[in-house]
Amino acid sequence: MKLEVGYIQIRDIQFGETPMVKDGTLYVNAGELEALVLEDEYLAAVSFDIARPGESVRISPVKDVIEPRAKVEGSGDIFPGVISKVDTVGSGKTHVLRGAAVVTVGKIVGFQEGIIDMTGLGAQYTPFSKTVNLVANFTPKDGLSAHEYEAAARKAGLKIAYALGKLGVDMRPDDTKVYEFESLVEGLKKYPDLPRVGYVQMLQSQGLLHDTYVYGVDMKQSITTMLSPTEIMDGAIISGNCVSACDKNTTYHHQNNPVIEDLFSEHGKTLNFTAMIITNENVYLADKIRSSDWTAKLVDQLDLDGVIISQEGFGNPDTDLIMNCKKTEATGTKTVIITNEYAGRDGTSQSLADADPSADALVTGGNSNQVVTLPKLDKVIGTLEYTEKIAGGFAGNTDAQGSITVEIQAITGATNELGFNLLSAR
Amino acid sequence: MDILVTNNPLVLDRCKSCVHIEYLDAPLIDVLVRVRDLVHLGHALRTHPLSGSIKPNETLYKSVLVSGKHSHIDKQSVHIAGACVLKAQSFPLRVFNERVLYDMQIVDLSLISSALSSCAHER
Repeated sequence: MKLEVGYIQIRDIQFGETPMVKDGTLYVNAGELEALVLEDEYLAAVSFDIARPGESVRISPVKDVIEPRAKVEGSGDIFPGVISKVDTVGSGKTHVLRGAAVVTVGKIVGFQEGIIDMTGLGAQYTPFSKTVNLVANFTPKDGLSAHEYEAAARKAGLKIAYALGKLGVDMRPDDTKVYEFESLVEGLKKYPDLPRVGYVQMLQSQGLLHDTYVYGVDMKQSITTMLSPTEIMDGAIISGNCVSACDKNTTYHHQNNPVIEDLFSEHGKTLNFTAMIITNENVYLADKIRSSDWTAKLVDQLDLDGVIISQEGFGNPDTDLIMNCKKTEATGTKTVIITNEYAGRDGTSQSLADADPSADALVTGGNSNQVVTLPKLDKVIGTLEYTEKIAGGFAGNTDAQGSITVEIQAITGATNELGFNLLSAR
Repeated sequence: MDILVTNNPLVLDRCKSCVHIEYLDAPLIDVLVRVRDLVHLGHALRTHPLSGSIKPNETLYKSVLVSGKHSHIDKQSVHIAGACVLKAQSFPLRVFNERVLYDMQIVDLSLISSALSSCAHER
């Protein structure tokens, strides 16, 4: 599969009458977007705000972040099986409004998170302080269940991003990149001497606020399978995962998966990017055993030399991660895992809930228990009503000056397990 | 016969007709310790005790499904259940107000329901 991605640089978002992209500014008509969102019978209202890098703005509680993209050539359309028809995507041409993001906000359950600060210390921990954000804050109709609200908010965010992405269809991109994912035979012929490397992406799939959808299919009902990484760039994987802000993969993370990006950049030079495997992280232990067995089976049948496995979430996914690692290593495939850590505020506790000697090559996204104090910011989009209750918050964590002290797990994307974050060690 | 160990009153209410429940009116850590003890007595884990990405100190409720008692000890269950107790004990306790308790119950119910659904397919 070959996908040409054209990046249209967006430096600002403004409200305006006519939706368009002009001179690097994305103009959005809030009334039109409101009408689009309120087509959903479950939502009573939506308000829009714009948050720009460097502004004294705090956004909370964040549900999802989505990059506006549009299909220009090739089969299918963005967010297949959810917003558009289920046809296969990942080839042809796609345009991206780079630098812009749709951020969805709303109280689905009372203890949910996360925080995006556009300036100050908190901004250093989230990649979404660098994007110009159109923030959509949803109000559900009375009596709506948490499940119905989550589904409605998820879909509304995707619809907004889809509509904005369409504004870039006829634009000339500022930059273009071509991603080509060869068939197994083509890859082997072209790069017979390079190590064959695969990527196993683990997807959160456990229930309310913990789900991921692939072509519209709830991943917990799927067995381990394969796709082309270019399909993911066209929105084949979307996030329904609203918990654990620091280590969840938003839809934006999926669209811009850095493991895929790096494997493509090394493809044909130091390695042959041979396979993209997706697997789930179910609560039920038999599902974990089945899915990790299938991961190892695919890795073995594809005769891979090496594999990278990325995790999503905390706790029981540690068991999926270790099962996957043990079983792929047992096939003779060199395995590197990517995770993050809950090592306690002083960093001295065991980092993961599971471990094995075969997991001897690990990349960490950082310690999510690290404590930071975020200064009071002038404007809040959403509400700070939940800052004591969010993951990483605690009672009395707001001082007289309005500063809030939280573990960095409260910050969206802080210790992301795809490596899409800013923490590093020296 | 499987046993659903829970301290979640909503799970007790919604699931009592379909699975045998051992209800504990106790903190979350006691559920994990009870599960660990059952595993040492020959029950096997059917669901992971750290279900969900919500940390053990960010919810008050936990539901874990274990199998009936076997004549042998399931080593994998012993390993996982023990590690979960240790991991949960490493998180400092937090205090919550009444308003979020129902939300916590809902999420725990959803997590265990997804497992009971898998379980039903297996049978």
